[in-house]
Amino acid sequence: MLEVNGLKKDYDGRTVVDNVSFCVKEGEVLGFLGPNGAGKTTTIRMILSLVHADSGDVKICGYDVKKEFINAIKNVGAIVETPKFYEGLSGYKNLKLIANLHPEVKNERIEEVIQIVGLTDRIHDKVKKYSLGMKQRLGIGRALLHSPKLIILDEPTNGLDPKGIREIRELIKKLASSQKVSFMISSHLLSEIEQMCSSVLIIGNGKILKTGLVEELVKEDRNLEDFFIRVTEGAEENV
Amino acid sequence: MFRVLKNEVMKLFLFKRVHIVWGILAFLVLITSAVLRLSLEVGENEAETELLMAFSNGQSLPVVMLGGLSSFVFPLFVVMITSFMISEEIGNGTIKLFLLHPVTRTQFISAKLMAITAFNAIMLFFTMIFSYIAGTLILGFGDNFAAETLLEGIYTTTTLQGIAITLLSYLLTILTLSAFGAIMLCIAQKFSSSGITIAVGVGFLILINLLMNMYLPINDFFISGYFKFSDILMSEGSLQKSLMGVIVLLVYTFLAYFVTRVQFLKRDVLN
Repeated sequence: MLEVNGLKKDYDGRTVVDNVSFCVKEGEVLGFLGPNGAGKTTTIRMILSLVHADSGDVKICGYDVKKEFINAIKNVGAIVETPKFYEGLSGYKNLKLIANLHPEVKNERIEEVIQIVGLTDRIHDKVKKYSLGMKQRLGIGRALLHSPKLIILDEPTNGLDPKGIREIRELIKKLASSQKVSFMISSHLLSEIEQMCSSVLIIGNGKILKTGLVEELVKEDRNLEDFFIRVTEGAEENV
Repeated sequence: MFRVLKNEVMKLFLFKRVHIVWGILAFLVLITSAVLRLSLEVGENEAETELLMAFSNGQSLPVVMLGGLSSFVFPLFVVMITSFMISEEIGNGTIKLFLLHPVTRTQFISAKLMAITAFNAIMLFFTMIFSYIAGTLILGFGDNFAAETLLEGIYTTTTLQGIAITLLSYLLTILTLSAFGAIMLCIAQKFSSSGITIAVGVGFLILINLLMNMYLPINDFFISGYFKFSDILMSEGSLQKSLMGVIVLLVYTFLAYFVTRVQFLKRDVLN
């Protein structure tokens, strides 16, 4: 579903992403972890072609993001960092603007997505009146709108209350298992990642530190949090 | 491509602040009509009153308004719209909403330029139609078309020819403002703050108007030389000058579009 090969990016002579390669299979939920400044967001931006990689390539559903951008990006839904909206417009109009870019997305699909993310009562309010959690839900709704095969979410549960977190977690699990949608989820909530993801990739100082199935990686530790701290602290000592 | 353009035009009408433009233009037309009417009524100098009477009517007002607004007010609105459409979207991160969907960067920039052109056309035709209506209601339609030109004084002609000159003047001004819009697009995509873009745009506008007023031998190649297209249409050798103007403006538009496209393709979207 997603193949990343040798991605590299330098900013002002400093390497922020260094030879990152991995893949996400159909129906896989990959947790993308790393301390602040590890290169997670830059990697996501390069996958989505928002930032140009110095070297390496990305394929989504077999399409090269650089050479076949339209075919590749059709299969992706994404939230990069905090979801952004036209704050002066309603949630519905924000969704409608994006739906306009996908001829296959009809009004019924917009209504369906609004129900999925639980914003039916407030969808016609202006986004500037939304709480952070509601914006997060709307962002997830927007990412789901065109029924993509791969969804990339940067901190998807940020700002959500425990009930909202659980609902999003269940939704991700359901989409992955029933519709074989693949997810790449970046988060600092390691307990959430442990519950949501089938595999994790840990990045530090722009390099991949560890990757594998969650259950195998945490065998020696009590949980993912302990494993993550051990791996990232080890990497910092090496630096 | 059409879908992106549709979105851009939709956004123009969804945002309330764009509607302020129509309000300001309507106010300016009404105040001009009222001032002309008042000047006619209280005019003491016979020669001045006669001059005013020539073009103080509904059929001449659209060209009077075009002459008054095209050097600064219309371009100023173009500066503001491009800053909202590009710099603000870069600054608040909404630009990536479209780049994460099946829209190439070339399509995106092309749609922005077309939306600016659509805005210019709507703004100009709104002014023209409102001037015809308000001018006729406040000043009467009048017997002849007349306009005061920069080089050749008062130009008078029949109503039909006047309507043709008015329509052509407004149509060609769309081209001028779109060339200016293309340059502004190039400036706006460099900044992520609409305030900075507006400041740079206004500075640029003042500069090109100043250069124009210096009557340099290369004035025919300045974009500001074509802000008052109605003057060109009512002058001697108007066809030749208009053709020259169209070519100059198209060159400006394509050059600015090309530079914008090249720079935008290279740009990393970080917000």
